[in-house]
Amino acid sequence: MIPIGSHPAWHPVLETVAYAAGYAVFRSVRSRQGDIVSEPQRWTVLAAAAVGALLGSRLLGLAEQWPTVLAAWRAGRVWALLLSPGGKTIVGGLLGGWLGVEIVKRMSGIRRRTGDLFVLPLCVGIAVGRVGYLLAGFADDTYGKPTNLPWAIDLGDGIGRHPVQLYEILFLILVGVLLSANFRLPEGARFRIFLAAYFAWRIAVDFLKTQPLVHGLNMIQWACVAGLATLGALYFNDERASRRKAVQHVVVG
Amino acid sequence: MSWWADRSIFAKIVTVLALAFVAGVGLCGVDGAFFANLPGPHEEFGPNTFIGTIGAFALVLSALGLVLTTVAWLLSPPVAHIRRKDPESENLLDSPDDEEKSD
Repeated sequence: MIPIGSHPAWHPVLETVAYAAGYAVFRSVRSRQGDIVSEPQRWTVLAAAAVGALLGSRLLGLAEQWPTVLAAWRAGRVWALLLSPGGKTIVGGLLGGWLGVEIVKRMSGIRRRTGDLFVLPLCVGIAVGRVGYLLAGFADDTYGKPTNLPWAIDLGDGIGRHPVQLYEILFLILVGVLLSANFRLPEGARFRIFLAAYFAWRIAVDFLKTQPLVHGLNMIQWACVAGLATLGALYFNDERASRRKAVQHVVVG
Repeated sequence: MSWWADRSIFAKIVTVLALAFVAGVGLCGVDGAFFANLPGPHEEFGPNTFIGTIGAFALVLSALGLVLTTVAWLLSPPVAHIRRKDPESENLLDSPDDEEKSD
């Protein structure tokens, strides 16, 4: 068993390092690969992603802690809970950021798919942030269930637990390496593959976490199911559109 | 590019404020991680050092700024649309260059 302990103060420090690292990687990838949209459009997308991610991560974070929110509501101190730090989730940030960008793109008439540049920065940022979650220990609700595996970690209570954050870091390294490979994919496909892989991963790995369940899944897993269903619908919609275009091309030709 | 997307100054401000918010979180974290055990009386919640105070200010101010700028960003297209419909205010407030850019 590997002793880790609980160091909750490191969580916000590493959260900030994660954002900084993600932004640095984004700038590096963008300067290396170039951008498919203009500078003002990229700023618009970035801002929409930032606002959507902040809101989404907080909303799903509160939904995830629904028993606490319900108790606070009954005790008449829901505002104190809303303004308290913590209670943010990566899945909520991804879904909120994605939704924010799609809304703003529609409003501003941006037709290109802008997500591919975010894949590697997200992998790096989430992986660095997960170190903070690991060090936070019991202060964060993302710790793993007890296990007797040789790589179990001790968060200070003498019980070996799954190092779920380390599992996720390894998964993100794998996804980052695979999606950075130089093979041709349609515009926006890398981002959608990343989202699908991450949502599927979270559905699986969250079974190793101790969180309140609703009909067998926790709120984050339900959000991932919704995200996967949306991605599936978008995929079939795109397929149908490209088939229709091909038929029209044949008819006109 | 549409007129709405051309309002990228709001987008830049929102992005910078979001970064300031995150920096505020980090400074508060540094304050908590490294200076929580300083000698002397401490409140349970609140900054321990100057770094924590700056972090708390950055958090509060950037959060307020984010809300205000996002609202202004979302309201700017309809406001500009109304302004453009009124020829007098257009003559007073908009230069011909701006009109060309917005198309």
